[in-house]
Amino acid sequence: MESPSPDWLVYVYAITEAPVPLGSGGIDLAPIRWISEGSLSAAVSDVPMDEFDEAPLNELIRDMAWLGPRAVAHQEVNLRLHESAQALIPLAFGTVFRHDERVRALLRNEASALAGRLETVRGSAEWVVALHLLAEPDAAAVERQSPALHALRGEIEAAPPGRAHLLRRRLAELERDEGRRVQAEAAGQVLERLRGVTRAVFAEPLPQDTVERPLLRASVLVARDKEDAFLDETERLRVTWREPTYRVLLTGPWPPYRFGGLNADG
Amino acid sequence: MAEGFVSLSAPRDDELSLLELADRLLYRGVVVSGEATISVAGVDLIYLGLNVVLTAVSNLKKPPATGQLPVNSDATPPPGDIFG
Repeated sequence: MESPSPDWLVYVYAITEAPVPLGSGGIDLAPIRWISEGSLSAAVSDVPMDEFDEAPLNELIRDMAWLGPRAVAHQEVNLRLHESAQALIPLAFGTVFRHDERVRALLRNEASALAGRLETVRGSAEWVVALHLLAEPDAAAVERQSPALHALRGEIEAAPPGRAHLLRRRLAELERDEGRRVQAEAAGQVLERLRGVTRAVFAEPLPQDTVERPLLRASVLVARDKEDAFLDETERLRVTWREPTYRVLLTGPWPPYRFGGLNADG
Repeated sequence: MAEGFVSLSAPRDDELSLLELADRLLYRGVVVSGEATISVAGVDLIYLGLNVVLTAVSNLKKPPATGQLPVNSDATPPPGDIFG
């Protein structure tokens, strides 16, 4: 079945290996259709052009009241597919084609890359682990992790007054630098521990100038049969980086939006 | 709203909001080859939106961002590729 008229566009939710029966609809409750080509199938529904053509879409997407129910519909389709399919490439919101034939062309032309992505995510779900800094680590905590600070304090205590004064100015600078280093190492240490219990780790770019202060936002790909070990490790992370200085946040399991979309070397 | 799409296996004290969902779904890296797709141009503005909302909720020091939202122009494929 081709998309019904020039007033409609084809919205693609996900690509998988074979059609999966879905009980309910997608965006605007439109029925999910399948477009198949070779060994790949795309889950699609028809969406109105006056909202999903490029210009209106890029306007409407800024409106959370418009985006909200459609993003939830997108997610719900992908969640149901993710529960039934062993391998799924969930697409980004707003992947829209003019005709079914363009979707077929994608499945045909990108068959090999898409098959590779399906292998990357097979049997896995995606989680997001964030490490937030709620308060500056106190000076004693920083010094415990800083031999340089410890040494400088010793030097100040032993120095004659004039030299001690100069060294104290250096101390303030060193405290700031070492505080930053300790924070930066927290992110690296969390990443390292996540690598031990996941198939892949991707450190997200961090938003700047936010009220919340994420030190790390990592997407991780976790095999479904290793979720217990992963969740146990996140509990241990919460203990190591605990409040009130830090907070570890976890969301998931997600369909693998990030890892399905990343290139193998990404 | 969050309960509709989070698995119960996720710990309950974790944040999952529409913004988190938008962040997951609108990431520019996910678009399957630029060819023949309409990609969402303003991906980065979701982060900005996130900041604004957090500010409103927390009622903290930073003023909400105002004015024109930045458009992530490099996420927009050339028009010729979109509809052919």
